[in-house]
Amino acid sequence: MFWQVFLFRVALVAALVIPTPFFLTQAHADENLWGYVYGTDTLPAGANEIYLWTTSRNQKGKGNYRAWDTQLEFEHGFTDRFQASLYLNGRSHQISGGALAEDPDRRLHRGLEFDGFNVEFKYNVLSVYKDLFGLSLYIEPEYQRIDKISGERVNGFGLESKLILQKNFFDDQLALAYNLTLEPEWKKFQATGERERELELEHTVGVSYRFLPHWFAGVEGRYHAVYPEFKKRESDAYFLGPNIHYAAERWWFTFTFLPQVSGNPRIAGRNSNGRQLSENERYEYRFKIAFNF
Amino acid sequence: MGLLSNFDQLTCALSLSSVRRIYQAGDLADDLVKCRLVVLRIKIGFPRQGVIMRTAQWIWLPAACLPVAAISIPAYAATYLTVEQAQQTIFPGEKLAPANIMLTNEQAREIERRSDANVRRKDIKLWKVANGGYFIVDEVVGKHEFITYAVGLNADGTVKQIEIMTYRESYGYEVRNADWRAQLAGKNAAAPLKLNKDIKNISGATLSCRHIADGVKRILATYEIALK
Repeated sequence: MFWQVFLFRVALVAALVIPTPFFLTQAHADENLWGYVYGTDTLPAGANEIYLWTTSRNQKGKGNYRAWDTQLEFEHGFTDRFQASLYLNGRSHQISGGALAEDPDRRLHRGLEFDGFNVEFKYNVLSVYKDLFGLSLYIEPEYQRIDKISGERVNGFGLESKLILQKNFFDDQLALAYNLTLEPEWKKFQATGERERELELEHTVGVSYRFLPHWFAGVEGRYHAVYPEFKKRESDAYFLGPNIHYAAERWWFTFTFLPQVSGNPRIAGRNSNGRQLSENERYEYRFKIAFNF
Repeated sequence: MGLLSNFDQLTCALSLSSVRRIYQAGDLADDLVKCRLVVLRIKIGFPRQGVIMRTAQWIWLPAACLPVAAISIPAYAATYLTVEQAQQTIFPGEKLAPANIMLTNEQAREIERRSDANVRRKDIKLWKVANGGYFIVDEVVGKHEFITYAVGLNADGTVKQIEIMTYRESYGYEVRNADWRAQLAGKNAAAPLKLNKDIKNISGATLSCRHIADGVKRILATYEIALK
């Protein structure tokens, strides 16, 4: 376990440090204008990009709940329209004080550990720069070792698929994007042997405007719903927040603050203020940094 | 856990445990205030497991990379031609005289109507060539910066040549290729100047191709409205 954790951390740091001074030549960009919403661009053929994402999810309306999802992603453009990525995922949790409504006694203080990996494929059907609107299709199989909410050990598989639409205005300085995401998941909890399957549905929409050279500011919204056993909807939540994006020639970053504004069902006895705090958290922050080479 | 302690842990250069050991030797183990005033012994390398990530606040790790990126990546403005160099490239040996103009609102609206491109600037940087042609320096929006280019017009208002003067984008440098630029030569205000119609696109450089083609279309409309 020590070496597994250690090597994962070394890989994260090395992936950031090594390309920085040595391998950066000419940049290409599938740069992310938003933290949660995907645009339709793909990397040009032969281009590479390495990302580090960190998402912080906080507060369940009771006790202490903090979770961090970290993703290290390597992306390669195989053609000007098709790219593929490999993600290595890490996850950590701090849970105490009855934060989980389904398991109030759960306490967990776990540092960053290897969570699993994803493989992503994205194909650009219509170019946002020369067609009426941009259209891309995206599919991402994933393997998961740590439950996102409880932090329990699981063996989980998911298949995330996205329909990505984008329309630009004012000489491409204003971008509007929409994603429809469907993700069936299957997982088995290692401790209890319990099996669970569910469908996650998301609608995300983002707007971003280049207000200065290199700088973009925007807003993104997210609707997230969960369908256990692929049947009736159990919960849903709406998120809305601002984001900022900076892009230089060979690297970029994006930061999004995404608080939950509303959700159902609410949990009795919690300071939920009309929010859904079992499958979702009160606040999310996401930071991405990427280097092109 | 505050930001400072996160930073302390993430940079992991300073080991509090080392400091404590130093102070314990000097009977100052509990004096944390003084402890912070001491020059801390720097440990190089990874601390033991759990020290960095006990709080697991990896949100700060990407942020810590920003200064690294900023320092290690040089500035990249690529100026290929000055105004004088562009003039001599397009009109070698010709004499050019400055003849800047300012478009009226009506002219700008008409240019936008005819070219279907935004007029971002009404002041046109223009030189008149002795043989009757024009040399114009223009800008179009790139993905991150403006692309500066020069257009030479023949006396009959057709494009003689274009040259990219400054290009500061992440990608799309292929628009500087002579073959791509050559397809704009001979175009007049009636030409569509549309990608995949009369202008070939460069895959992977679509935004730059489209914006430059739109810019040339606007300049040709400017010739018809304000210069002819």
